[in-house]
Amino acid sequence: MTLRSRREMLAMSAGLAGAVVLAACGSDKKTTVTTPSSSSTVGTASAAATTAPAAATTTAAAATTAAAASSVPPAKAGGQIGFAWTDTAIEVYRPLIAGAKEEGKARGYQILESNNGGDVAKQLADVSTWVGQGVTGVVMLPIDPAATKNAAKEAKAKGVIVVGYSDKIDGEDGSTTFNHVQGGKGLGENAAKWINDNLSGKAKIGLLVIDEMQVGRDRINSAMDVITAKTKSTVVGRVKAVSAAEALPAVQTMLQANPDMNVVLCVADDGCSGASQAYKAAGIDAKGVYIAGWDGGLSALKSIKDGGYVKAGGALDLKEVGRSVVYVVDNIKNGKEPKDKLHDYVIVDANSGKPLDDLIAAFA
Amino acid sequence: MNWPASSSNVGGTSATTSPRLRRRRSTSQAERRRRLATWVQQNGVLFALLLMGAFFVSRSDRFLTRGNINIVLLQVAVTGIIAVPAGLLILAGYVDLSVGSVMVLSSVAFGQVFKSSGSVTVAIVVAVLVGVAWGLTSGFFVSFLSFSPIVVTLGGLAAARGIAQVWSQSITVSGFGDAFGKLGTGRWFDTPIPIYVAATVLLMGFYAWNQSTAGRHLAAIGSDEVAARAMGIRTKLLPFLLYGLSGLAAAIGGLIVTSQLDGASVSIGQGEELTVLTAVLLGGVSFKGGRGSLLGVLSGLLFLGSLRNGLILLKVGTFWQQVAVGAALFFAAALDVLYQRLERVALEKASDSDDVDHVTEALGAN
Repeated sequence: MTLRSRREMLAMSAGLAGAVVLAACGSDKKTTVTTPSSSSTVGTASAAATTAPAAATTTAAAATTAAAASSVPPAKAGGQIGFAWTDTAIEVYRPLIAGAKEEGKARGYQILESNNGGDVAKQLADVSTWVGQGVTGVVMLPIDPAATKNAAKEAKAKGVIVVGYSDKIDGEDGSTTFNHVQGGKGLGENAAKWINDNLSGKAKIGLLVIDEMQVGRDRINSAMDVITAKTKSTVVGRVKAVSAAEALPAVQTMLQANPDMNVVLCVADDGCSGASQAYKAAGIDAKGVYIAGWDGGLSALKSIKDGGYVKAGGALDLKEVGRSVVYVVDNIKNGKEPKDKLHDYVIVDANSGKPLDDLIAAFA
Repeated sequence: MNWPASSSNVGGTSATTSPRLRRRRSTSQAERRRRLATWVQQNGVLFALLLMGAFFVSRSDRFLTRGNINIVLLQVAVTGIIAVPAGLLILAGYVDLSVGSVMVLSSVAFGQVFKSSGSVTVAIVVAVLVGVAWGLTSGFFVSFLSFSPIVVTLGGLAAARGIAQVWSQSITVSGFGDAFGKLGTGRWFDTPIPIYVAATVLLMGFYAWNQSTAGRHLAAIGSDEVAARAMGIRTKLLPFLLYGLSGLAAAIGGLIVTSQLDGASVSIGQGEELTVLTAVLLGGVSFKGGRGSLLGVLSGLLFLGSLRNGLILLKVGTFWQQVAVGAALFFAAALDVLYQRLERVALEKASDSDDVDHVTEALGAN
């Protein structure tokens, strides 16, 4: 072995050991957390660039699994449930996964997590890994319904329960979904009332959207249907932006084109804080501005409670949603009901009182 | 602009030319191609930027207002800060794909330290140290242990964001006060402060790239590392330090965005590495190293920023906005390929005319 090879071996060993230590520190004491393919936001990077990290992430995943397996007792009655969510960085994930783990503990299931960053290929790779290791069920947010349909078919062929999350999947055994249209219409009603009360029924609206996802279209379009019907408002901009960091420049630019834009609907309420900062930086007073979004993230809920630019939100009971990830699978396994759970949104504003406080408390 | 040379010296008829005259003509053609290649590389995106700007001005009376120019510059400021060391790294034949994740890690470090200590100063120092330490660690693996820069920094991309998520529990810390808020939202002579920060970094970058010995050494490393080492250039130390600077720039960028949002959010920096890479490649810096200019990178940055801004001003649909940004990346790749082909043709022609040294020297000087 050459000097360089020895150095490389030493460095690789140190890296591997570091990964194991990190995994051990980061893993939950009572549930196994595996990450078959870790998050990456490279997006359209070249094939060469995306192939290279596969080995590295596989190593990290193996280290994570090994570390977690050594410290976690295996599930007793239930088995394992793979939860193929998109982006674990989003604030709402914390109460969501907490609810799933609570229910999993009560029913004897281990929850396996996936962080695919919205990349359908990674999501399907994770699901394939879980199916290969013989999980009881997989709960998938269908990033691409066509691709997810095939993955569901393969999973079912191997006796794995398939549950659609947020949207239904063709051939699924059950689902835990959200009433996006109800949430959209509910927030649309709230916005229309505010526009009529404060702007004499005429608003200039900016939309932060993600049109390639059904949930995004349902939320925004349902809200706009109501606002259009009940006010004389006009849409002055429609830009793809989900996170706060994306929303800030998007709203800055929309304000340049339309300095009198006074309503912003954010497809996910993480964007509300970016939109608020854009208005603040432009020196526009919060009193004449209405910003609202969906999900029920902590920052947005606190902003609503504190007053200011964010006036309302369509929130989900995230812990209950997380619990449903487990009990729907368990119900299907044991022939019980409900096998399809539809969650309604709670529309909250500064006057909501206890419902708003309860939603904030879920993040504690 | 360095327009291609005129063709006045390539006349004559082939039937009557001597071998010496043919060689001279061949040399002249190679020289013209070299100049064309240099022009394309250095000014192609600038020309595209001017054309695009003219189009947007004709379609929107808001595009060329001072307020909108400030917004465009503000929106490219953070990317510009990170693109300077990133461009130098690519010039030297290296790459740092972890910058977006280092941004969020530094932001989260700032938020968490602020939450526990209550001191903005301490939090800034820790955030900057985290960024520099991450960069130097990547640099150590790449420079001294000869690991692949793509593998190391893509590993860093996943790991740094993962650590940020674990550390913050994906909860945004906010409320850092007005003093820190000035870093991202403050103004001086009606111009946002991040623009001044980016301008300062770019000026330092221009000096490093064009005037300093280190800049020439980095270009030499990118052209031929073995030859550079034989010439006594520190082929390991320079990239190592540059990775540290890349981490520093990412940390500063992360702090500016944190200040703008008044929140240390784990969504910060997502996709930033791709934006930086697009700007650098659009600017004509070769992904293989050894060639490029910071003026080109600046043009690439402004091209991207103006494109996004103009599309929103014109209310172009969201799908078409994505298509346009993808087309910009394709344009960058096409420019790189075009330059390489012109470069190869120039060398081949020069070789035919026994004038390799002349052209190689000329290309190397670039």
